[in-house]
Amino acid sequence: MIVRNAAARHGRRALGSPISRSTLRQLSSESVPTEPAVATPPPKSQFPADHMKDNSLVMSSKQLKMWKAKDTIMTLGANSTPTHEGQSWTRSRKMGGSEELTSWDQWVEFRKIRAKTKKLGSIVKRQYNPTDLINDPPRPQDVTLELLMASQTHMGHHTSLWNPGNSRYIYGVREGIHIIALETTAAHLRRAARVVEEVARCGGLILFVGTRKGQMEIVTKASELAGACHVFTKWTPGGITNRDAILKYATTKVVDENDQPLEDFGVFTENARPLLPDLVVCLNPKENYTLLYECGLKDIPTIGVIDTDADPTWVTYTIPANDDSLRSIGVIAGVLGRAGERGQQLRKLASEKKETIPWETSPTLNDFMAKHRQNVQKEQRLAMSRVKDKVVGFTEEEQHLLQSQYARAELDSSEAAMLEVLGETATVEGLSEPTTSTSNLGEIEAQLASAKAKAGEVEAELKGLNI
Amino acid sequence: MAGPAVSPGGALLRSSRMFSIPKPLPIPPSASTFLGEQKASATMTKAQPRHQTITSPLRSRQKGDWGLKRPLPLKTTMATTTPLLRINEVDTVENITDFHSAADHSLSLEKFQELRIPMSIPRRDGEVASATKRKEDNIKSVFEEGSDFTDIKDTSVDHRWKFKGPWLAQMADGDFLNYLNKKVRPQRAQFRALLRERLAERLTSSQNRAAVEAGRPTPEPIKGEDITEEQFADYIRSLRSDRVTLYGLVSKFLDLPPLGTPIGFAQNNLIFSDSNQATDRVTESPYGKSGPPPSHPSAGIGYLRTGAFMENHAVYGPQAKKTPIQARIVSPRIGPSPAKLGVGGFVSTVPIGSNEFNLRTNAKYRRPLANGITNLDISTYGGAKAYIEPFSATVDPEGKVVVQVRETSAEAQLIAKEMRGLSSIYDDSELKRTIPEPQPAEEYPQQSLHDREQEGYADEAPRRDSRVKQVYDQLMSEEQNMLSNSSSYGLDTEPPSEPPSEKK
Repeated sequence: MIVRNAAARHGRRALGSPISRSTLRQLSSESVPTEPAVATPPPKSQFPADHMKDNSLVMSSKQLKMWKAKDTIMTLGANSTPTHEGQSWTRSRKMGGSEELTSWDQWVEFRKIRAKTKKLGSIVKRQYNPTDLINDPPRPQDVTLELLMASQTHMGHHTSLWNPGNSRYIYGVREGIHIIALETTAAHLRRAARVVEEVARCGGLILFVGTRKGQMEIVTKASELAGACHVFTKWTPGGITNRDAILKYATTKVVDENDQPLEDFGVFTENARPLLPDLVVCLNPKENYTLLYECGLKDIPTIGVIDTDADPTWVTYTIPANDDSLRSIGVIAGVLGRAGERGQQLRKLASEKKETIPWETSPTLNDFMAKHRQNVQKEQRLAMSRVKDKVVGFTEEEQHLLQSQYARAELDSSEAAMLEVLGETATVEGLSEPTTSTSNLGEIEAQLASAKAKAGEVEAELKGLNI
Repeated sequence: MAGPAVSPGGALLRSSRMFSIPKPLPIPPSASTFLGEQKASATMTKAQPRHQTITSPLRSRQKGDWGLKRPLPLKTTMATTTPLLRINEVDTVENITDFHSAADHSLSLEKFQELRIPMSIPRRDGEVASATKRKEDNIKSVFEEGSDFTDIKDTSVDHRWKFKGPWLAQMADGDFLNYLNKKVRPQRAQFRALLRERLAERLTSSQNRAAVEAGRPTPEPIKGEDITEEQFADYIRSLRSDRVTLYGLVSKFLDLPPLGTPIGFAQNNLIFSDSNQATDRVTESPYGKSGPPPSHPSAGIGYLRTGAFMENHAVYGPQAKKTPIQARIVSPRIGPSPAKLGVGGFVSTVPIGSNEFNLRTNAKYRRPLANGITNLDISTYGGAKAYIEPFSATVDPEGKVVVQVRETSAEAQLIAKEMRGLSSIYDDSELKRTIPEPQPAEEYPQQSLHDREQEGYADEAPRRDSRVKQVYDQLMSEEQNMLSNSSSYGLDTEPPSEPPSEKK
């Protein structure tokens, strides 16, 4: 589909260039006093001198800082502030005059001290780390009102920008903005998580869409968890309703119950109609009206984060929350991604236990398989008839045997048997000539003998002519 | 006091940090937006902050996370050493968060707290500080029990700083007329009833006095309703001529802040007024002349109760003077107006008395003036600076913090310079008892201590000062010698080994 080959379509831009190390360094508060030249590349590489020359600009230090900061990509995932660079004992150092302590000596010393001071001090609790939202998103059962409030999901828009359709989600007004009730957000988020989980359990195709700046890694992480597709660039209008034209050259893939791609569907994957998602999760509905409208036309259920200025009727399942804050979106997408992950796990568990999974093969795939089966049978029949034509002098018994085998193959129409037969024919085709030669060895010998006799006669004639 | 029951989410929101941001203070009256005749700059640091300052930890700040509606742009919030913001609006119709840097007020607060001076009540009119009298003797903290209270209903207390009525002396004409029409006129009938009561009391007391003198039993007390219209009109006429009593009654009725006592007011009050009680507080209030502050007189900028503590130096022990502050002379003296100093971000006037900041006509008190006092010093990098000692601060009616400074001693200046590494006076080497060789005159142009004493410094303090000065000067001259004389480098034992090229 469109999303699967996004990288091919958009090139490096879609993948996102990684933050350069020097950029991360300049944002961190720590400075490395020893060997700065080795640890970090010189800042010249960031700001080539010719750039300054070309523009003939004299930047103040403030402007320079601003320029650097502007270049940095705002991401939740990248931990650009390393708190410390390893423990001190990992580096060998000199003690006193000449005695050098290796890291091993220091490790021994450290263990001694740790054993002594183990019972002292206070318990260090886990602190808030912004990158955890990407690296370890919360599960649906982890959603608390405290988490939602800390993630700023309650902050709506300016009161004059509201959509009255959201009045039932709004708790009040504060600081000139509408406040979304935390309980409502929590309840709707749990419901949406349930929907995602169930769709994933039934093997549905889920699409995560978040096209705002900074939402790329949130969307990709959520879809990775849920085994879903993602869109973080502009939704191409018509991707659903006009998909035959827009996704003409896109390929599909056929997977088994473990989502492993199946071979031998080459023709089908190239020519099949593009798929439709079974559920669309939109993190910024205001910018993706076209997508939601197309989903509405095709009866595809949608989940959307509805801020106070968005229209709640655009989506099937609303999650009233702040859609501007990356943290808020990170929590919501993370929870939905985790729900999808849970659904996938449940499906795999069920298949391991040999339970039945509610699953229907799409009619197009069924048609394709039926047609393919017919073709194979036709070819087989053709091959058999060719063999029959070539072989002369079969005995009655032999012909009867062949016919009975052929009839049995025709009766057996199960898919697995079909595949087996396909395989057999493939192997038999290669071996067909040698086998025929061995079976009719006597005949050939006879022919050879007659040929020899003919050759003898010819030789005799020739001799007679010469004499 | 439990409020109405709220949902768990509501209770959580109530305790959230975003909800605890106070509402911005109202824009101060127009008087403060003008500096003299010029309109004030739009970007200047305002006299008082209106918004709370917020900050964010580094890790969150790098993601633009300030706990607000949306992440703030890194371009402005990361490229700064002072990540302090004031939020004008969390969200606007343009879909942006309106914020500005709040480094100005936050750093001013930090600098003020480094000064370590107490907030004090402004001096009263009667206690005009003379040059001879030390001003700090009159300092009274705003946190004293006598003056620091918030119960504005109790109008009987004198040292209040908050009043229900406006301060008339600061009001513009239009505002005053507005106040009269909107607030005062509707209360006319109540004031007349009050006057009637007062007249009734007065008549009753005179009637009683007459009865006692005549030996008759005290008659029935006269009530307000019994007073005839003529009697009341006469009383009002008499009040109009007695402005002191009338002002006392009016200001008490409207709870106006006290006005400055005119000359002879107190005497008139004593002689002519029928009662001292109404006018007492006019003379008592410390805000009579300067006007009441718009906020608590501490303005929340400092909570130090007194400056009467002694600083201890790690080597020299307890210090008589506080660590002096380096102030910038922001404006030289122009005509009769004295020079202005910039002390930790606050503009203050120069210390009074005979010192290096004031030009004295009398030669007896004249002292050499500091650099930048007579004219603006444009040659020194960063402007002319001088050491002073701030000792107190007050809040004026516009909400500005007025820092009061005094002269500091030469010793304190020297120690402060040593702390900053600009001079070195402490010598911990072993004392050597050597007889100093007579030095040539050009190397030590300064006079010896003996010479100075001979000139007639009989007083103890100036003598010590002069000694400190001499030590300082000597140190300076030695430094100069070190630069000019090779003997200081310990090269005396060997002949000077200079490269031959330089000799040529």
